[in-house]
Amino acid sequence: MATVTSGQNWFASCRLVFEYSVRSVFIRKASWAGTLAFAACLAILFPFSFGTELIQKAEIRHGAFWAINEFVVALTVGRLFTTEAESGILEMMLAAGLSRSAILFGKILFVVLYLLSVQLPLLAVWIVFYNVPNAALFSVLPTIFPLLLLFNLGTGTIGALLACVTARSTGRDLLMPLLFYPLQLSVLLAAVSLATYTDPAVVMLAGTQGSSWWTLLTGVPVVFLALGVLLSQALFQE
Amino acid sequence: MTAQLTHTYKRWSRLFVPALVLQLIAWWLGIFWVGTDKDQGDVYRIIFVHVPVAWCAFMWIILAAGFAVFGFVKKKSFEEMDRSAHAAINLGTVFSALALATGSIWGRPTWGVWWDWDPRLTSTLVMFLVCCAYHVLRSFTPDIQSRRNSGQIVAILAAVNVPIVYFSVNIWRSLHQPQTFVRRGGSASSDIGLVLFANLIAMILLTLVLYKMRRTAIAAQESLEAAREGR
Repeated sequence: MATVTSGQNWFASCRLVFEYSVRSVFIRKASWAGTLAFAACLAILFPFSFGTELIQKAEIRHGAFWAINEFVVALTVGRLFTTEAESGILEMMLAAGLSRSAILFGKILFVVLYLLSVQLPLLAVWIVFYNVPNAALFSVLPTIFPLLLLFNLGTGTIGALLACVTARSTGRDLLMPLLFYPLQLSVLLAAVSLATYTDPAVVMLAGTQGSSWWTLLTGVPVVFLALGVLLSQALFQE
Repeated sequence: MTAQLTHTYKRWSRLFVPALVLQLIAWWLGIFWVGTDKDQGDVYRIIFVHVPVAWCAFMWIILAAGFAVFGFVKKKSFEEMDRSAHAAINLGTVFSALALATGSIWGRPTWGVWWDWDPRLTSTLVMFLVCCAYHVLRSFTPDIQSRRNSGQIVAILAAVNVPIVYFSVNIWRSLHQPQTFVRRGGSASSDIGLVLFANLIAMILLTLVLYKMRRTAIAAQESLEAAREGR
């Protein structure tokens, strides 16, 4: 890990937090593999909960993919600052004078890429197990990558903010989903709607506005990133 | 300190009865003075409760965020602003719940369902849930300073939902009617608009009295907690 100096600039601090987070995942390889195994289990479980006939419907198929994503996200953001808080690294970072907004951005960047690293193999599992037809595959795949990136950015930003907020609470396991899911709902709705609209098997209703969903999907991360920067002093307290 | 708080509480509780009377007069106007709607009949009269209640929910959640921002900017008034934001979110929670309940009561005869996953209804439910989470967060954070800090942040985050709720009927295809009174060329008659405005003013005054009473109660509760803990 690079040496922390008080004069370190913002980008270097951001990179440091990101690198530390990535390395901590590499050290505990089980956490990434465990998350992926958990997602794969859900992918197998969902057709049985909905019924194997119903899961063939395009809307249900897409819904199942994003529902699995929600579980993965909850698992990831729920323990976002756990390693740093338990090992005292977070206190050290703050004491070393690292920019608080850089810590937040580093963590958000990590969440975005970590989620993507789980989602890509999950996407392959989804295509195979849910029998995604070729016609749907070619129309969905070009949209799904920007969708996943924006979804992860929105989710990661809200998750990182709330992980800081609930860090000093006793019922963190209960509080995190209680706060996270309502705030993240708009991101999920936008992602599910946009993914579903791209599928040619889905009959779009008159007056469906794809542009407003894109606005929401890009607007939410911007708003929460701005709030994160403005509130970073309050979010991280020594 | 306690005597001063008691005095403040009594002073504001004396204003509660006139504010309630004013609200009852405004409701009376809505029920008996304004004519029947040609499409909905008398069912539409719930508008005189539903719309002011929803507007008050918006107002108190926005004000809570305003208090929280002011608290972060002016460090000296951080505690005061936290109490204000706490009381405002209390009202925001209650009025969001009332807006959902009255909307549901109105929805049953007009839409045929108690609930629909419509953008306006869903976003209002989300707003209510975030307000509920604020209270859970406060009760699960034992350290007073952390409680104030995290409470203020969530109060700001809760306000992000207000524009989403407000503009949801314009942005998405919605079962809920678009803005009738704010929009130019709305279909409502002028006497309905007037009575609705009277109801809105009465409801704001009533909630203002409730806010002051609740805020004083929070201050008293915190003083008691501080005395118990020897702070």
